[in-house]
Amino acid sequence: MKDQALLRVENLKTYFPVRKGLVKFILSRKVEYVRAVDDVSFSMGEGDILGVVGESGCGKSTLGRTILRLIEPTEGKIYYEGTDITSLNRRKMRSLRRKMQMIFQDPHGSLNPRRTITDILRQSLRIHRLADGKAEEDALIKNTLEEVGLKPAEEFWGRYPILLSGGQRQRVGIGRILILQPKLVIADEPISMLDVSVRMGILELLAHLRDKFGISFIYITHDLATARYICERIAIMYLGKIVEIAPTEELLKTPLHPYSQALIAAVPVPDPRVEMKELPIIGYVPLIPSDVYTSCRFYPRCPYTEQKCREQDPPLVEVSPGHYVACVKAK
Amino acid sequence: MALLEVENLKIYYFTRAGAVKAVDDISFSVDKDETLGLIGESGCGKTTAVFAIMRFAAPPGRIVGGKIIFEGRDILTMSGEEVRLLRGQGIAMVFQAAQNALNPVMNVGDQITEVIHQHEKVTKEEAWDRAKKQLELVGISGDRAKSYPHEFSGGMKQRVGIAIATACNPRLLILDEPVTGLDVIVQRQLLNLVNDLRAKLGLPIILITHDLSVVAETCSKVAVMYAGKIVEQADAISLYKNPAHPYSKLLIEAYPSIKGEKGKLISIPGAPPGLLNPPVGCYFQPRCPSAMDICREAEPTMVAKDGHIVACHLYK
Repeated sequence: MKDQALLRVENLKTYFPVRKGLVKFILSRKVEYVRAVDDVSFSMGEGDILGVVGESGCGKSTLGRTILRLIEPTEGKIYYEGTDITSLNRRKMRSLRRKMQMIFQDPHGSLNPRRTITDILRQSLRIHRLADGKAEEDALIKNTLEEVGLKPAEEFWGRYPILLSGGQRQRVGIGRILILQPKLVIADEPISMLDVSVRMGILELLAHLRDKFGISFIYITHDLATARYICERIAIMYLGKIVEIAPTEELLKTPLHPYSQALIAAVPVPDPRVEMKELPIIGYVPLIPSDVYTSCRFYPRCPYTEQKCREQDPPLVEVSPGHYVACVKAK
Repeated sequence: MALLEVENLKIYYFTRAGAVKAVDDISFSVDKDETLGLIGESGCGKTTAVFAIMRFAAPPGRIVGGKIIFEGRDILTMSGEEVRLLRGQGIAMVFQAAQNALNPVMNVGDQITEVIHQHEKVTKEEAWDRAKKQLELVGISGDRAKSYPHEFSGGMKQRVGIAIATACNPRLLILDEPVTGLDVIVQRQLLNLVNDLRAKLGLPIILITHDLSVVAETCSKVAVMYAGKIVEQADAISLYKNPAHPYSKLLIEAYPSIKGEKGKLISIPGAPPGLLNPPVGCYFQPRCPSAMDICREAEPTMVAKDGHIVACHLYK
């Protein structure tokens, strides 16, 4: 792995203890865990856009939050520009946070309705003391608003979020972090609550910010089709683990893990002339994930399962340059 | 005569700020063996329109004009008792987020028998047997009739919703955003089920969605709604191949696909208009790339063009 990587995640684990009744606890004396993120490793360079794709409950959001240390990892290391941020104290972490930011899913809930959008951006500036005096603040806010497509800025100046459409609000959410000049942004389902006609505009904006400012993005989504449009690489997660990671077009054309194959086959095609295919998958994601895995976690749903799958949890191995798969069958 | 005919339906919400024309003069029909996809962005009036078909319109909303003819009778002039019988037996609806529409303190079997007892005089045992059969119809084992909603996953709850809606053999089924919020794999399983049901029961379906691909995989006919109006209606294949209205065209282009060549990202500038003060002329005109002078002056009327019915000044 490259050392100059902007972000390197090594064997990251985030476990949540399962709360049980007192009696049960006394009887078993064992704490069980939900392994939301279970031994995830990857790295990314400056200006990369990595897609993290998976179904709900696969741990993709927890992974994003753990990387920013909004949730403390249980184990593992997160290197940002070579420094291990899991060992930083609060004060150092705080100054680093300016560089590592997050875009949230819900553009309606993530903006304070009682503040104008100008104040929302100003607050970001003040928390990190990025401007001297109001005039400089105003200039920065104006530039940022126009950069995220809210132009002319005068028209949006002093408006409350309620007066904006969903797409415009999401642009404010992006402006709020852009004004801090971040280097790594975790975008957690940034377009899934927006109307179809404005979704692509937001994706275009993310791609534009990457090109212009070299910002790296981790794009967390359940939608492979949109990930295809902006990501260089895509990681597929299943029950807390990355089961496959590869360059986007390679992954879509030759998925190697049976789960990736099912996920890709399930994506609906917006063309009635294309026939629906049968899905190579059985059943549902388990409602309560198991505590410990001694087998491949996908084998109960896998159509190609064999004895070996029951005996070990396959590690992620590189099968061709940049293409990693966790499956005993992939060679 | 078609099974369901909606003619010039108008539903306005009367608010303090004025009348919001949520559904403004729409007409469409559904015939036996048809699946109609009603597609549009949030707030375009698609749910309001089908609520009227179920006679669910509630203040401040009011049906101010039009007819809804189901099997030859106008639903809007029916008495309360007739409407009660119509719901469930004539037309049944699976609500948006049916996952959360289930009663959490009642097992799913009882929730199905509840509907059956409302409509038919049957014994408890008979109803219970039918509940089990309904579950099996939607791909859930009958043994799970005693389970409560929290013991099911989202996709299975949505299936239970369909089982409840089809318990009394309705002649028309309305699905409101049936797969929104479900994962792709579960979504596919559910769409397969919808297609199966139509084949097995010969059930005509109205499917409401904002997702073009869902329509593409299930519907034979599509109506595109924008700001309370239907702007284009055509059979599914022809709409995807040759969309006539600029909005339909852009909507299809803006939809990402994982198949074929990766095209350019396209988004429609601006946002849908507020319906309190809609723009003058065509409602889509402020966002339309081919807007002409006449679009800013007069509202387009519906014209037929190559089998499409379209409301646009480009076609005269």
